[in-house]
Amino acid sequence: MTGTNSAINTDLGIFCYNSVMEKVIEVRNLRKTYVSKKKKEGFLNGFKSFFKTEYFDIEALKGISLDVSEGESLALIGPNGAGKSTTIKILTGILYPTSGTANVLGLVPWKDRVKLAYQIGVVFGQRSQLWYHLPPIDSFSLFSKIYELEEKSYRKRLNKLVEIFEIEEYLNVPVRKLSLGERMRCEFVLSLLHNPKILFLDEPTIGLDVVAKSKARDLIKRINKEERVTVFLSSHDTLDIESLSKRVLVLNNGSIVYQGDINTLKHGYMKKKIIDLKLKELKGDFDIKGVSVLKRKDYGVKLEINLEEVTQDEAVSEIIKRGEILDITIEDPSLEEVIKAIYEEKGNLEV
Amino acid sequence: MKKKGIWRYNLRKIQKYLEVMKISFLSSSSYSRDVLGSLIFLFLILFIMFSLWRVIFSSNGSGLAHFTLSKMLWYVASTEALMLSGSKLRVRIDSEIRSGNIANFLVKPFFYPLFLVFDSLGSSIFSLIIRLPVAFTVALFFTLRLELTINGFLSYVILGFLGLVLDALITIFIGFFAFFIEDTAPVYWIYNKMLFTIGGLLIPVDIMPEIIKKVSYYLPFRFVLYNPAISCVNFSLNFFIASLVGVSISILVMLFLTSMEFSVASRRLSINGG
Repeated sequence: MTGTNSAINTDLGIFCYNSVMEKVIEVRNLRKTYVSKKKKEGFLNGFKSFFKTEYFDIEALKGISLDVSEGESLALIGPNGAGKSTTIKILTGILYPTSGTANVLGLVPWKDRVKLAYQIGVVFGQRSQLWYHLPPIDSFSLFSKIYELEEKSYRKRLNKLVEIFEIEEYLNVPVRKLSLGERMRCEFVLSLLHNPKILFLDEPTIGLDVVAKSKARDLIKRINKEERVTVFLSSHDTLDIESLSKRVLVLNNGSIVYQGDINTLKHGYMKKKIIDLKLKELKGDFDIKGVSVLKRKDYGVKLEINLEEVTQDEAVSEIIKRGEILDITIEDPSLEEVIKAIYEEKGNLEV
Repeated sequence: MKKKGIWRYNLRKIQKYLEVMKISFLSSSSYSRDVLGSLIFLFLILFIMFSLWRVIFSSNGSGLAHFTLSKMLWYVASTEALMLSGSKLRVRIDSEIRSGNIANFLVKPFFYPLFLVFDSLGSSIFSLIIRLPVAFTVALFFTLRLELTINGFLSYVILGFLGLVLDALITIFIGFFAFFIEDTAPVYWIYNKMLFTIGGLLIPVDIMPEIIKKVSYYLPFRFVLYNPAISCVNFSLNFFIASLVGVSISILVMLFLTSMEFSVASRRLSINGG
């Protein structure tokens, strides 16, 4: 771990928060290239490839650099195939990079994987670490031995986490009988049993319903705040990012396209909101300043609000005058649109 | 004080793998209906094998090699109980590598191949504890003779346990081929058939042609089933010691090969979705 005295923009273009704090993750020019088989179209070409296989390179990471300070919560955001999971897997020691350096808690992850494992917790949203046929308490007990915890400190820690994550009633229920939300809470407990210094979360809320997502976010936030566990999160869900992290890193095609404050990203690029409306009865049109109609069918309307011309509240108060609302949803623009906007305005912000 | 500290340190390292074995044992015991089904299967297999050997012995008169019919039936019961308790890891390793679920194991502070060995042992021991009494009871029922001594039984337990370790290591070694090839099933199929033939599952190696006996002698497969079963029905201290040395060397060689394979494979790991 290295301490830093200053830094906002270093000469490498790395945006550093909490600069007086110790850096727990330092990544420089990290590259990862996968080799994949080329499959040509058609029967003959397919048969030919049996004798002569052609390969091509997929550049998953194109030389990324980043720093994370102790106790910080950093979010990685980006569309599918952007390199989010690859970054997490390299930083946890699962994958070897093609080139570049990384230092996590003073260790090189892919060389000191086992040593590092004692100091980090990892949750993969779509993969379970719990024993499917057994109750979570058995998995917790197993992992207390795997992490070589003293029985007394394990019990104390478990009791605390059980209370925070409210899983007491599921402790003795076989995992196969738990809902996804309940299971995820147990996965968090499992990852935090050994007091990790960094918690890596790869799409932790994927597949969860709205209530379970919100609960998971609150709990991660609490762990980050109360235990000062550094959180390194990757997600598709902009709400995850907004509620959990102050600093965000946008990845696209293996490159960092934005690194900085979440509010700057929001106000700088998320200049639009999409509103889906269902009305009982449609009165008049939607000729409102800053509002344009994207789609209209019977009593359903899809609108786009340009936040540079009108605020969300102003637009909504005008819209509700157009008829009795049966249902309304307000969404942020898609990640792809945000990334497009970043590319268009690249240069205006520190990238 | 310092010595005590080192012992404690090593004990903790060993304890984690023993705990894996315990959890795997518990997990295997969670489905009683599956256990019942597998016992019916064992009974059917033994019934068929016993009927087959009866016919062979009735046409052969005096016996085969040093086997009487009753010893042969006890031998078959011993090999079948071990065979059906063998490692089931191949499919799991294959799917974990393909699905990327292996990531969950690589971020934990243990050596993944050893984790798998103890995981396999947990379920194999549970399976053997359930199957062995049934296999021996069926053998007793069909032969009306107890071809079992205390020494024979103890040597079977020791060699059988080491045979299961070797079986787990070979299965893991084959399972890790999934890092390099599309489908590991054909390789496992060959291993399985080796156990059937020169491994002594169907026919004891003793009654095979000389050349096959020699091939079997130089390969590790006989240590999984044949040696424990022979030691069970025909105990001799010399054979037991020779088997113990042979299986231990085979385990060390396979552990080395599997570790090497894993070390090479984990460097070329790529996981879908990252």
